[in-house]
Amino acid sequence: MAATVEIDEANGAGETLTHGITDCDMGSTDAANMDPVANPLTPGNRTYIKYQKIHVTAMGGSSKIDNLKVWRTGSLGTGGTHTHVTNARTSSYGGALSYATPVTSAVTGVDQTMPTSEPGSANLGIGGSLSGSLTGTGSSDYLGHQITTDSSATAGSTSTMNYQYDETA
Amino acid sequence: MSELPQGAIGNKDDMTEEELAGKHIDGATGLVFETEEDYLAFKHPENVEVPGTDTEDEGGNDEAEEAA
Repeated sequence: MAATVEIDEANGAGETLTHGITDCDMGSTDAANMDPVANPLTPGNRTYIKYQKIHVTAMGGSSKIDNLKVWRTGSLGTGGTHTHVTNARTSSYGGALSYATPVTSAVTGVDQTMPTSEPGSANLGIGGSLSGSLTGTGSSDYLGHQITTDSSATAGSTSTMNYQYDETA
Repeated sequence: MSELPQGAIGNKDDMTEEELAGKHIDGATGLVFETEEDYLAFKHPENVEVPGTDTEDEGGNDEAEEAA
């Protein structure tokens, strides 16, 4: 039996954690599984930062989870400039990202361009290290990511977030 | 109001942001749990040890094990 893994997202000043989110829509409100139609981003602004983590809820007989990789596939939209920034990186990793109340301004350390294909090595840490691993239930470091736009950006685009890990039997 | 599963303290739709601070929400059901351990016990009841059902006990000190 394989390990059971989910994506969790923290929101609000109190770090409320929603387990097993079903989408990663980003926009003008801080909420898990938010409705982007009801909460669109006005061009020229940043989305609320997302704080998410990969959570192993059961090992299912496996011995190790490691080598976490995150990336986005699909374009961010047409017109203007859109940038998807993150703390995920394959080198000079800044350690575990600390949670803070999500904002629509720049966040220290969340300044790398989100990869648009599978990274060659881990880019999200466990226990503050890219070489970290889980041998029981537990979570990755927080993945922080945010989309920035300029005033010429066209509202509305669809892309896909990818979360990958290695599982050792 | 229907009875909540063991470990759940409410539903997110019935609680304020202040009440949800630091809590764990099951994304599938909206149920709210005080701790991650409570959430995991709900999600994986098969992994919860039931007192008195330790059939593989080899003579250890159960009280000491629970206290550890």
